[in-house]
Amino acid sequence: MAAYAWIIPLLPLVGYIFLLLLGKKAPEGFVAGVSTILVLIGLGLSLGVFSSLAGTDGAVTYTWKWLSIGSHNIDVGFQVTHLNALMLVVVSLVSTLVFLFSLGYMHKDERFSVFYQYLNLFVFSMLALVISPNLLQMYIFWEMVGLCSYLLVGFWYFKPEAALAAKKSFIVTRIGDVGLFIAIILLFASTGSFDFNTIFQAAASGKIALGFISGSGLITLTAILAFIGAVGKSAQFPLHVWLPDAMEGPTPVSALIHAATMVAAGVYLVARLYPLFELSQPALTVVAWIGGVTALLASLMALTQRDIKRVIAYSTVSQLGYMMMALGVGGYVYGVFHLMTHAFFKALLFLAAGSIIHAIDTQDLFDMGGLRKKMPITFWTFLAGALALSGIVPFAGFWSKDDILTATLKSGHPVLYLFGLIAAFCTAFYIFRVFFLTFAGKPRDEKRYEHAHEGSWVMTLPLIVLAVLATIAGFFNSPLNGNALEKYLLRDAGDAVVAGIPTTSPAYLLGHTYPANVGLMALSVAVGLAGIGLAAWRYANKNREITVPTGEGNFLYMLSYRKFYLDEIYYAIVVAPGKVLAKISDFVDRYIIDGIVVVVSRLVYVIGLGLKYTQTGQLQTYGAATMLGLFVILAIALFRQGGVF
Amino acid sequence: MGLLFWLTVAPLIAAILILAIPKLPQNGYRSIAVLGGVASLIMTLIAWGLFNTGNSGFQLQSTLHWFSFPDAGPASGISIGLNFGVDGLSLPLVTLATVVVTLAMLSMRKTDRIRAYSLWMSLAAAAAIGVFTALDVFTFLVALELGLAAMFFLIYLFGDPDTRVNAAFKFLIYRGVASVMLIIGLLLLAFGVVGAVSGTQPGVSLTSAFNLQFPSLIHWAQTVSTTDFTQGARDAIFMVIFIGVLVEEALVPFHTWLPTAHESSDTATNMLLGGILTKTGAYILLRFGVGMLPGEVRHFGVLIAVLGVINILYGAFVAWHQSDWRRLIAFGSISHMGIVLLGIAAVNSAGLQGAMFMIVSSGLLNALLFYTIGVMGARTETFDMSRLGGLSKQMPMLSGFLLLAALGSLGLPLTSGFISEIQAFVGAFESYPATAFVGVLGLIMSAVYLLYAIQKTTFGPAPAGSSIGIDARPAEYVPLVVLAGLVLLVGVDPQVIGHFFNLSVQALLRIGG
Repeated sequence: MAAYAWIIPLLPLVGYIFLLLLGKKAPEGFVAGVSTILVLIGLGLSLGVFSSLAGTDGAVTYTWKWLSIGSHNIDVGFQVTHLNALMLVVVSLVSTLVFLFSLGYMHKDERFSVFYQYLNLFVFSMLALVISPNLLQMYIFWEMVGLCSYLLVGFWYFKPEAALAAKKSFIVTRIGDVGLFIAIILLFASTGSFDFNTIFQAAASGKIALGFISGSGLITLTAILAFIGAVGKSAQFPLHVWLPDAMEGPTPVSALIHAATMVAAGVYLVARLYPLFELSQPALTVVAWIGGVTALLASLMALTQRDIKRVIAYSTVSQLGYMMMALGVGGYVYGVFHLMTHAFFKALLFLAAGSIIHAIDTQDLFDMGGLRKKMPITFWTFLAGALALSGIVPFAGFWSKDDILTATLKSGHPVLYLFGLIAAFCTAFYIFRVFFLTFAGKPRDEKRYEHAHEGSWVMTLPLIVLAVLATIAGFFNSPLNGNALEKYLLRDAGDAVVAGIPTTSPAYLLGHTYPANVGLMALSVAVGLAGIGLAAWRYANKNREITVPTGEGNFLYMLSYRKFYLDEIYYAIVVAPGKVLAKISDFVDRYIIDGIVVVVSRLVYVIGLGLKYTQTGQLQTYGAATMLGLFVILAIALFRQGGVF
Repeated sequence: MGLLFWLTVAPLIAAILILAIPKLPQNGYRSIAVLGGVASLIMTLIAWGLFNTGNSGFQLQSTLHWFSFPDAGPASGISIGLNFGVDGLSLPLVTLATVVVTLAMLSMRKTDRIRAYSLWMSLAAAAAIGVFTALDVFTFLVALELGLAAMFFLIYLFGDPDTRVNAAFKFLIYRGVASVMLIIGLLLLAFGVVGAVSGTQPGVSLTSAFNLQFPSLIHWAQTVSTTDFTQGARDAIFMVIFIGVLVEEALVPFHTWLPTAHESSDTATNMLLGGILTKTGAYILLRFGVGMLPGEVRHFGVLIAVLGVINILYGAFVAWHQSDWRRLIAFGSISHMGIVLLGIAAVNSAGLQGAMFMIVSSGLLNALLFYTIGVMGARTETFDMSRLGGLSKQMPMLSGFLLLAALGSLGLPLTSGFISEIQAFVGAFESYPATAFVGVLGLIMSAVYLLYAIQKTTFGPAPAGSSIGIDARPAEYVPLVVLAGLVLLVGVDPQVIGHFFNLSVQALLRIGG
């Protein structure tokens, strides 16, 4: 079955090309139908691949030659490991539902077909990334994912905010990509291969070195550089600033970016390179701390945002921070597990938000309220997503987040554990703030409320499916079923041993596992409930009137609302100096470098006044002189060589 | 007289026909020029078929003897004439040249001086192709000089009315200086090598040995000993050639003629200039520098690498501040050529191959950028991006091609730009890691300046009072699709030209030892 995994990314590529040839005039239902069916077939295949690997250690790799550089051959192909197979399922599943949802959401958009083209290309790139057998191919699709994100965030190109957000997303992630680019080059230069297993083998057996750095230094350096790439892609502090702005894209795109494609790629990269990271404790520490700080900071920023999508966006940043923290403290399985559960409930929250925005045409929480009666399906499904995000038992997020917190504490990181706990409290508060402001109380904008209605089945069905997943997906790796996912994912370590990567124990290659701890579970649920309680007291309290906060004089409020002023700080220390440097360079170019030329040419002109009688202005004469000169040199040289002189 | 001879002179024959046939309708002269280009293009494809990919030397050689020095003893052996041949390095570049010249001819604007336009285009085309098909120093220099003259007239006669005179003379003076340096350098190199060989090698006398053909020069360059051809002499010769290359290639600080020329030139001229004529310098550095003075390239490696990084970053920063698209493309091209320098400085297989890829990639992308922006500029009557905006609405296809060209230029994977950059940087990191670290920042900067320009031009609302332009016409899709297709082809299946380059890289590195 795994031998056919290459078909999975090919399906949306076929969809892309088909829609491209079909042109813009194709009917909406047909465009969406074809696309959805293709990814649905892909989902079926992904499930087949996933289950076919259940009882076996064997990773499947197929490659063929792409390019020769000197004596090195660069291959392309595909590889299916247990991690890849899980990613295939998650990506295909979320994509299928987003494809269906978009049929309703993008209805009557002028560029409906173009939207589906981009979506198809996006999913193709992500699926192809997931099954890449080497770093170079992964980087290729890594960038393609970035391109599609750029195109989709800027889909409504006529909106200046969308244009700026698209550009920002590309450039900020590009900064991270350069780190990954260097890492890939250094790994190639030191091992002669882009191939994952070859690199892991060389690194683990110490056969990795470059002239200017020791083997272990190189492993740390490349791991951190690759992580910089992940920081950009997965919107980790300090490169997280692009993701909230990316909200300018259509909402289904946000669901795709935040759940299955784009940001998941960064976490996936660290997971894929885990055998390399494991060889460098400094690199793992960096990963853990960046993750922990991001989880905390982003959850603080989410507390005060007024735009419903922005709250959820910061929530994504924060949750990705949890995943990175898990990977950094050695909880490989938990990071990947949270990637999966998060994909389901975050896609759900975004699509539900899309459903709300579609109904009342605003993203401002303070224009909403009372939607519970008008939109019951959205209400219930959003609730499931919010509970999952808050980590309330037994919803999906509970299991994965709790695993992460447990692993963080047990691996000896009490400060990071505290960060995670505070973030968990904030998470529960901000998502239920959204929940109550949207669905509870009285409508604050009667006119919008009047028009509000539930979308058609293409929009509600994906919500229901995702709500079910957000409720039950956590059991996949709960102690109740013997941590099935953990066992599944750790089979990759067996593959690595087969591939000849020396290690002390298979478990070491893919982090450590920790048994569930009931006390810690209870604590994190209590923290989540406290957050929900605070939100209810503040926003679902008949005695408290809801007013639009001004934040005047409240420094902490403004700090959160203005996102710790990071955008302003970056502008002041990076963008503005860059622009000044560009301006100076241009000045130097026009007036100094070119200026010297003008001065020299004037001087030559003055000298030329005396010599002007040699100049006839006839091109033939010049040509003749040039040729004459050539032959004179020829002749002199010849005679000299011949001994005439 | 074989295939390569006809391939090179086909546009020259077209030029003669244009001169000879009087009173054709406007399109007649253009058609003759285009036919000349197409003939070259077809013969290039035939050359692909005939080329033996197992042979790393020069192939498909053809010779047209002109004259010999009649007496004077030692010189009697020398034969002057036109010699052509291609190897793994030059065949893809010849292909680039024939594609770009043909498309540039198709892109000539309507003018009542179309006859003169077609004539100079054809001459420039023959020169552009001849630089890469030349097999000896003499033929090479003839092509170089012909290109200089033809390009001068293209800018002078058909450029922007206000700035063309200044731009044309600036071009002529700079490239003229470059030519002089190259003539001196190449001849000194040839005589130096030959002289040293004839003095020491048993059985080799100047009389029997002397010729200016590349294979002989390469062969002698390998066998010559340092005592007869001193380090100092070689260094001096290399520096003369290298400075010539810097001017020819428009590299900092000898680059200011290029933005001026691009800003003042017509679309077709810009395609030719940006697509081919700014690639000859890099070719010279590979052919004569790495090919015949590899020790000197290594000796000056640090200098070349640092200059490369300066060009990458300086070009990108200046490009960021341009509001005229044509100047932006010019500085972007300078930045790309910095990557070429960096790759060559590495003198290893990845670096050299990356530099070769980058020459082709930058040529294709420049041509595509200049064409697209030229068509847009003809509609909107401006190249100033501060006066443009929202073009995606009126011209979605053209905006799409512009975006593709920009993405290729910033090195997006699956375009030719990426595969060039990564190879060049792999090479650079192996030889000069610290310098390469700084140079990689250019990857961020290229995204910055190109996406700023794209955002201002095609995104956002259209500025008030802008005229309604129409999207690409059917005929305009030919250059767009061909160039974009090649950019993608090289990006998706790099081996298509990579297997030629790899041959040449192996041969070059064998010389270097």
